[in-house]
Amino acid sequence: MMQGYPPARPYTEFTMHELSLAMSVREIVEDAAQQNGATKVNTVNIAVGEFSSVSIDALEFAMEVAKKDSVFENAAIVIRSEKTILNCSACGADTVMADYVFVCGSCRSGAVRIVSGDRMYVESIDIENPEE
Amino acid sequence: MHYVELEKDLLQRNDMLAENIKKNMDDHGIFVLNIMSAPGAGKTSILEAVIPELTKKYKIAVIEGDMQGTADADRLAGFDIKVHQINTHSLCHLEAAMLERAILNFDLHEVDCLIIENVGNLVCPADFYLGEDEVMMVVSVSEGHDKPHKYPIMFSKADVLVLNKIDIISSTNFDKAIFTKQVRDLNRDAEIIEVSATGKVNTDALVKHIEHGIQHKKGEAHSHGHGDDHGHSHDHGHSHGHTHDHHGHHHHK
Repeated sequence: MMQGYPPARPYTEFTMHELSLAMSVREIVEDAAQQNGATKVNTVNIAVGEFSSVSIDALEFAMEVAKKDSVFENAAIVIRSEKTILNCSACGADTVMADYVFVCGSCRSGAVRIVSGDRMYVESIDIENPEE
Repeated sequence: MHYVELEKDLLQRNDMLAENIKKNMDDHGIFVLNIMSAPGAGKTSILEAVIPELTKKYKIAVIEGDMQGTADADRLAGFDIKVHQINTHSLCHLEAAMLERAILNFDLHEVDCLIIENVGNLVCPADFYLGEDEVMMVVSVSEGHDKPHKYPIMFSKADVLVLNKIDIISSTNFDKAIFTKQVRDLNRDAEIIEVSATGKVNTDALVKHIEHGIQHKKGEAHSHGHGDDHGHSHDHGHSHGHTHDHHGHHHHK
């Protein structure tokens, strides 16, 4: 069973791919909590695009390490997988990418590009303010 | 309790640093190449083959990325180039922050082309934009023709694919037709250049490709408003501004 250690170095230096990403989440949440005057964070909602090299399991585990001694130490971490959407320049349709193949789900053209679902982001947080 | 929408990208910081790097490189008219592959595909051997030709006309700087040691930087030490080794210790890929620090080791006025040899890994390097102009992926015939489907992200982000060790293809069951079809399923536009780095087969085509990139970048540095804006690395291979000439070699389908 791996032990968790509080961060001792800047996040970009972290080992393990998902731990480095988890530290980015920490930075984003701590900044947002401070900017919104939050005393407590109840939930952190994260979206991970399917077309990315991120394991959601590994990220969940890494988040447990990253949240220690932070403003969101007891928050629920909710990570959802986001489907990858392709936009077709031949027929204009937006379709869901299937099996990592760059083909329009509507007209089968290869003239497609990813418009969403290849990034990872903190969608939102649920916070408590002192006045509440 | 209230709900705050953020929509903050986890890679935002990396991408911001990478954009700064890109701007710096653009200002100096430096062509930046990010080379990725599985370990042992031949990235360093390819550099050993092309650098002697490139240095006849251009000033080359190389940043080597490895977890440990200076093996690759040592191999390039004898050439007329500037080389800097980054050790990630255990991180499996290079990130913009590391690159920013490494670039401080070079006098950018004395560089025409910066080549980044990324950590050998078919997965993670593709996610981290470093401010490069081009992603070059190296694949060797001994890795199997089924790898594109298995590692779709890197294959889709490559602007150019170098198929290495072509001289030993008969010792493998590598099927070029299957490989090319799998690549084209993921990447319509990437040129595929077949070489043997150690056997010196077709390495001239690779030299010409890189020289083309350097010349194009120098042309851009003097004409502002050139419509070649690469933005995020996710556009590579799809909305790529370059028109690729095939330099006379064959495109196998």
